[in-house]
Amino acid sequence: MMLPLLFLLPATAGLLLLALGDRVSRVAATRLAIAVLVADMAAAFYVFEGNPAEFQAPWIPSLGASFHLVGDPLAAVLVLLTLALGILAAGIAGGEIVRRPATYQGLLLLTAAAMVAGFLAADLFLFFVCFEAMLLPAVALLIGWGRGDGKAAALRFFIFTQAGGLAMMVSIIALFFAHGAATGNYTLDYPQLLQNPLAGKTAFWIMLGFVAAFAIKLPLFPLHGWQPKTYQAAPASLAFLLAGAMAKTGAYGLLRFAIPLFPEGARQIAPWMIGLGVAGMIYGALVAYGAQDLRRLLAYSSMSHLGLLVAGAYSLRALGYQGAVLQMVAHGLSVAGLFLLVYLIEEHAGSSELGPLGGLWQNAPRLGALAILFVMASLGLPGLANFAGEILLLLGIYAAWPAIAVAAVLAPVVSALYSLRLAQRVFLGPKAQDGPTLRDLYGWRLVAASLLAVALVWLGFQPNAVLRAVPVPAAFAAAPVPAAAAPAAAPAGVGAPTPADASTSQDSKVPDQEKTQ
Amino acid sequence: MNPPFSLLWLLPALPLAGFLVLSIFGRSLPRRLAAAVGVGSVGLSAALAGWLGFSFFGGQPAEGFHRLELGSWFDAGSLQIDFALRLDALSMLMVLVITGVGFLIHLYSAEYMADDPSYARFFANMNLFVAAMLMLVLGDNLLLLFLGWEGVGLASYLLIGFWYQEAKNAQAAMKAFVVTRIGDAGLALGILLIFTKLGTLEIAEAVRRATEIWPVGSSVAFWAALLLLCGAIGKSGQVPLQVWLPDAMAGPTPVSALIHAATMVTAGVYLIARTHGIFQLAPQVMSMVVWVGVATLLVGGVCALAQRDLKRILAYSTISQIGYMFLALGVGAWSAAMFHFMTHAFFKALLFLAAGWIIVALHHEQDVFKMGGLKNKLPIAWWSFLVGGASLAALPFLGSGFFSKEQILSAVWSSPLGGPIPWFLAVAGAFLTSVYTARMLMLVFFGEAKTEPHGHSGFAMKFPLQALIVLAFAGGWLWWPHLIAHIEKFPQAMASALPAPVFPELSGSLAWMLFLGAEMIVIGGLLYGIAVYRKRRGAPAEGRLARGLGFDATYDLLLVRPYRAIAGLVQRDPAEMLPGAAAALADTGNKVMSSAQDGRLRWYIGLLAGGAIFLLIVFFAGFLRG
Repeated sequence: MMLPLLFLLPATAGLLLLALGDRVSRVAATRLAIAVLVADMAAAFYVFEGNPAEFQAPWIPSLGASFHLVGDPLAAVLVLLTLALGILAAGIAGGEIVRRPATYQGLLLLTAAAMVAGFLAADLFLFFVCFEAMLLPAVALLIGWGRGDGKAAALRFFIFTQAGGLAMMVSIIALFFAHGAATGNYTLDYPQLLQNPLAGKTAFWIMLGFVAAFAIKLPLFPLHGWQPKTYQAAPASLAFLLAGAMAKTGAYGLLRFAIPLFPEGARQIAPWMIGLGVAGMIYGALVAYGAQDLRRLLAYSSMSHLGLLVAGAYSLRALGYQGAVLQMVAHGLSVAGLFLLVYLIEEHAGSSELGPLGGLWQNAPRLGALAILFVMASLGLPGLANFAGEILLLLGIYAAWPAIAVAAVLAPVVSALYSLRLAQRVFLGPKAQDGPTLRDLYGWRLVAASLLAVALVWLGFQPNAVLRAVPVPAAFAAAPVPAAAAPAAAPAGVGAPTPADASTSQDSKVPDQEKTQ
Repeated sequence: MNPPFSLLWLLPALPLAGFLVLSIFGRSLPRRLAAAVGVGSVGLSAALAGWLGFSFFGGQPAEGFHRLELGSWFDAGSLQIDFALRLDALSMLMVLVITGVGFLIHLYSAEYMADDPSYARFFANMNLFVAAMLMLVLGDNLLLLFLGWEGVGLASYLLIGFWYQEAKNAQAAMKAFVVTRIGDAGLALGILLIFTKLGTLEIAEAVRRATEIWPVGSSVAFWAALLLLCGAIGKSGQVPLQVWLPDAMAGPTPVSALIHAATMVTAGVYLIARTHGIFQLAPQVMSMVVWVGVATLLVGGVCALAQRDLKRILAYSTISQIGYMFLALGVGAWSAAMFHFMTHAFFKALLFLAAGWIIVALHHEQDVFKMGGLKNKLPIAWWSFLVGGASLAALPFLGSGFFSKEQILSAVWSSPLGGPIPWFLAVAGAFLTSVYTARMLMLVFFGEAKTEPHGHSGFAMKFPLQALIVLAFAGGWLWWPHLIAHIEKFPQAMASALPAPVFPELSGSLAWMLFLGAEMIVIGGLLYGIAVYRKRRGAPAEGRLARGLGFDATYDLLLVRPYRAIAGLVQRDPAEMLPGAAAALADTGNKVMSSAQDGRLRWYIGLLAGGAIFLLIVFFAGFLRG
């Protein structure tokens, strides 16, 4: 019964702040937002302890939709990530937002609440509502507090994600009827839909609607046209939340809905998705390398990391799935760390342009050291969380499509190029003439950056905290070996057994059976 | 008393603790305490390693190794990776050299870096390096090895760019990281291949399964070995990825001694020796290793001849000497390769530390053409260079390098994977080595003094030099050429981890002829170098050789510039430019609107007027028609 509380708490507080508006001071609004999210996080720890929490209430019977929430481990991981980043975002907002701060914090809380509800939703209609609902306050923030051409960015962001949302809505309705016609059970309840995954041509088209929505949200190459401008225009706290947590709703959607509900369709588009993922990984890294603005750099680096995530997810291997889950958390933490840096730099430099920066380490040793750590996380240094995700993703991709994996292992090279360039242009080298001087980390900034750093190291050495908790859905455990999977390296006659393939699934009966086909 | 080998984890943990303490509290610690933590942690680790080593080589365990499991890293279905350390003869040797030489260099640094404002940061990074390097050699599986492998890369990056305020140093650091990462991408692919094909990443188990399943010469073994070789080439500065190592000399000299001479750059040699079972299944890759080694030892030797910067001479010399180790690996002389690794660690660390002594004494002058006449002014540097140089040039019996190079040369001739041609080229390399050694000694220590040294002689800097002089001189006595004496302590100690070569030893008059011939060429090179550089003191013009044979220029043209150009080109990202009609339209609409608000009044009025006229026309058109 506690489960709805997790999103009702921030939602109520958000609405309260909106209602009170300017009667609440900036400090009070920030404190309230942080306190609510901290309390919510504590509640989340309590709720997710033990058995998967579940909540169900009737909602729209004619649509087969109910208010069904499930707090399983995957949802738990993402809810906790969202709340943790939400706390930091509220802290940043407290520092940066001067105009109507209470309204800002209220909208930020609503965004977080909608994301939390989305991760918990076990009903497709409810998920759709949340998916749309998280958009509205975000767009409002972008319009009201955006920098530069914030309105244009907001419009772009809105149109792109709405187009995806529309596709998903059509697909949900179609799924309702197709599933009902096939089984006689007209429902949008996720656990029930999961029991009878649809196959065939109709299902394929229905799936594409879901894939489109999630691919835009991620964004997957080449659907990323909204992202750089949005990240550039958004206030730092919003960009922080968008990159750290909201992009993960796209990845989550693929892992939770688009693949498990349509395993056959997923197999059909797998080579395309892996190809696009790897292409985006390389393309994003390339653009990030040349970027002249830190936010733009981070936007493209995000796209690069999430491209690898999509490729790993569509390997349809257990390792790829686990890598994708880890990567969601790892990327959330590392990009949050980098956005925090960007915020601190903007505080002093006034902009995120690379041009006037340089040699910032000299005046800010703590900041410089933590910056190097975030940069190393971003380029996948072993011992930090991102490596744990990436190695599993690569193992998944290699097991399924070795030829594509050859391109995917360029990840450590191209990500090193742009990540190190960031470190070099901003922190190393001589101090730029009449460039900004940074104050070193202090107070909550130091605490926030250190916590992110500790989390990255901890997860780098203890990925088991996530791996052991999150079970692998059947759709990822039972992938057949594609015919083209025999690597160029291995001659057919060698007869090398592939134990990894055989035991990839956690219940390893299925692959053996499928291999014989 | 026999040490409990369950203390193994302390070896990397001590320097790691030093790193954590220094990087978190470093700036508030007094200098003496920072040095005590930095040097002490590695010192304790070295003492423990000595204790373990004494016991290990005193009576080797029956199964040949000790294993210590510390918990699980990845528990993901088919992928089970433990934090497990494994100590066999090969790791033990590496551990002893890393901690022993590492401790001496840390001690030296305590005085060498004494005036640096970032004293604690220096030791923090050095400790991080030692911890990561120990992880690399103790890791029981390829993922732990990779953890150490990338960890030393990070430490190397941080230390090359230690004086990051200079853009040149930061660039050298980035270059080192990126170039080695190109090799690492190959290694990563190799790890994926090995796991997918063999179902394990535990090194010993993977090698065992490979030898059972993969036939000799099979293509899967070929790819596995080739990909491992890629990683080794990048890390060890072998042709064609050697370009980062000379630039890495931008770091403080103790860093060059420890990381870019004695230990990290030999990680590739360790990797191949560690997985030699897989390489044996791929004879084609073995001969690639031979030719990479030969090419590298020649390229390094030739380039060393033309350098003016003392540290760059030593850097090219390191490249060249690691080429010898690769050559030895390629012909299957595993123990000889590791023997050369050990002697090289001694004499090259000695040369670098002595070079640091000279450079500081000459007010940070590194150009050998501005040195001279230092023989009597800096006696300890002279003795260090004399012993180190004799060892590097492999002068008969006058240093450890002679013993290890002799083992390599005799193995190259008799191995089926080697033969006369690689042997002649390796001897040609030895000729180059003694020429550039003579050049270095003559220019630095003889002739007229061009820069006056100022003295300093702390114990912390002196003792490491003295200790390394002894090691560089006597370290080779563990393995004598069998023509002279049958002392084979080194290969016997390694036997449980590295099998003896399968080919027969050279013997009889041919052996003597080759031995004497090689030695005459080495001595000839020395005399030639002395004769040439006794008189010539003028600096030559910067030539192709000094710039490293144009490798950098080629990569710049073929890789760096195109990548930058494309990255610049895609800044106008098509996906952003043509995001669909709606967004583009909205965008243009907005641009027009916002430029209208720019305050350019004329435009504003013009647009207003135009809009009004447009509306009027529309209105009237509708009115008239309707």
